[in-house]
Amino acid sequence: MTPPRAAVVRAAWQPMLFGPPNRSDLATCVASWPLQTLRVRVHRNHGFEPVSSAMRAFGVWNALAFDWTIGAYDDSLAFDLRSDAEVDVVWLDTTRIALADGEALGRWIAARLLALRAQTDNPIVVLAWPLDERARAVVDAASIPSTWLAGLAQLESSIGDRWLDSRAETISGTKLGNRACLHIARELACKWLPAAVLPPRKAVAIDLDDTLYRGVLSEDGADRVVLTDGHRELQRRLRALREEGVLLALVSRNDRSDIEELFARRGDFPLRLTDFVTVEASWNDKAKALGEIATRLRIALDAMVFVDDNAGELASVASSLPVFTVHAQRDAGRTATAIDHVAGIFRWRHSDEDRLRADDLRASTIRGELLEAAKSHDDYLRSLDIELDILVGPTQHVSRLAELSAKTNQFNLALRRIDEAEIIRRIRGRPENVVAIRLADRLSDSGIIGLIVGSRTEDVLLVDEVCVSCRALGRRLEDSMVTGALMIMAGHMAPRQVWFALRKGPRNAPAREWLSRYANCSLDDDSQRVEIPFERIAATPVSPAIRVNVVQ
Amino acid sequence: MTEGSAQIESEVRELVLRFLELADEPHREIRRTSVDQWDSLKHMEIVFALEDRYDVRFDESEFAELDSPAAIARALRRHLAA
Repeated sequence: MTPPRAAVVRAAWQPMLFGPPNRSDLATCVASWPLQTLRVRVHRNHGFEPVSSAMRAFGVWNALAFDWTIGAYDDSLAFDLRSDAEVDVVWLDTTRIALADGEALGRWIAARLLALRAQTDNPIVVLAWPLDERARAVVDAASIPSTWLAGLAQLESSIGDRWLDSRAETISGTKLGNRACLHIARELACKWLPAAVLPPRKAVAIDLDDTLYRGVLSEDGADRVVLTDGHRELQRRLRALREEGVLLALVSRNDRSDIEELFARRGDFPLRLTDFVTVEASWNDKAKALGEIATRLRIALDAMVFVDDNAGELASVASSLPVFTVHAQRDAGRTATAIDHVAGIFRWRHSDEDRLRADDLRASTIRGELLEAAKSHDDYLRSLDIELDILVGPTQHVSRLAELSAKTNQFNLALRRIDEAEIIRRIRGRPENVVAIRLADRLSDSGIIGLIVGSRTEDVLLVDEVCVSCRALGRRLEDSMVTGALMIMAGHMAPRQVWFALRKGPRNAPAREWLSRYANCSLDDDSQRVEIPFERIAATPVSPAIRVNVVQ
Repeated sequence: MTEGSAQIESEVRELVLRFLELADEPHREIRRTSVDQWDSLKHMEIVFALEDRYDVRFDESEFAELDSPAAIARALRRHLAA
């Protein structure tokens, strides 16, 4: 099936997937387009099949397939599944675990999760029900890396009486009713598993007319377009996403002055024009506008979600760009639900850096003007008053570092996707083996934007990974960041050589081009290692226009 | 069999075949005992899908008798008439 046809089919599925779920309707959502397969291992003590069997349609809508290995019922959670997987799910009916109270249950679950953590570096998604607040607090307090406890209690309260089904256990092996299993399937397929494994979406580009309100601005006028309850809900949800660090862009075939007037006049809109980091108002092709937005935001096109009420427009965009498309429905509340269920929109955790992203992007426009006006690159750097912190073995920032490793595509040398558990293990082995880079200038605080991971032998400093957030690119600071970090990682006994591990990926040309310049060598597509004499790196000066602080 | 009854049985047959991932053949007999794919997990999916499709709730004691499109249609007619 071609991408434009797939966009239209996915739009037609939305009412079935994001209305009240219905197993009969879900079975009709069968299509063939390329899917990314996630291998999932399930450790369980009750029936999981009513959930897994309902996940296919939600996965396919998100271009995902699930390859399950489901263990036997095991109340002891011995974790004896040995199959290969990318993520582990623990599916637990706690009523089968005879323990005195919530605290004891929480301690037991935490101990079992630590046992699983010792076996695997995979992310772990835990679906335990029922789980009182005390038990949950004990599990949370264990702070087990890359382990995520899903909020089934919220789903239970939203479903009410149909959460349990006294008849279900005889045919499904679980006390949970069909309705509960369908809702869990939707959250697991669209939110919880993708958030554990896949990079997040970074931007939502949204149409205006009949999408953010009901009506057509150029025909109805700013005062007469209608903010229905559903549109209010959609706008509120988009605003919440913005506060969580998702970038919002407006793509509209309207005059910019009309759009400015609309937002100025409509104080009842939850969204303000300033909530959008960029506004593309033109009568041009929307695919072209989206391409320009991705360039401006320095994000990959597949990290962007495009929302429009015109399925033909979605198909047209899908014919040329790999953006993820969502159909804006007449009931805009359903549109909000669909956006929430795009894989990569939900995140298990929001970092400070997520929230800084929009301000940082606005600052980049001013930086561009300063660069044009500066007499030299050092003058430009001085004008920015840049401060670079090199954080050595930063245990308090492990989650952000794992996020950087998972998310960066353009400046990611080896694409190793190092997770929290591995970062912690490396820091425990030798703190200097993991270095984080924090960046601020007078225009914005970018937060932690770089990760360099390596290891030492007697003669060699092996650099296993270098990741730099795309937000930090464009200031030509990469040499200073990496050289500064390598001097710390080398330690007191200077190595003879530095070996950079690398792997060519679909989007990491910027990192490879940087390394080619830094090492003064050309790279083949198959190159897996670049060797540089350490003395050459040691002789590369960190720009004097940058203040560098080492934080041990 | 009335037209409405035939319609229900036809819909049920289509639903069952979809869940069993079988192509329809006009004279094919679809019974749980004679179709390998109709295992306990597929039975669970079919029962829940029928409940969703027709907004009915089978009694636990009925689960086992829902073993062919004709038997399912009979049970559905009972529920829909009640």
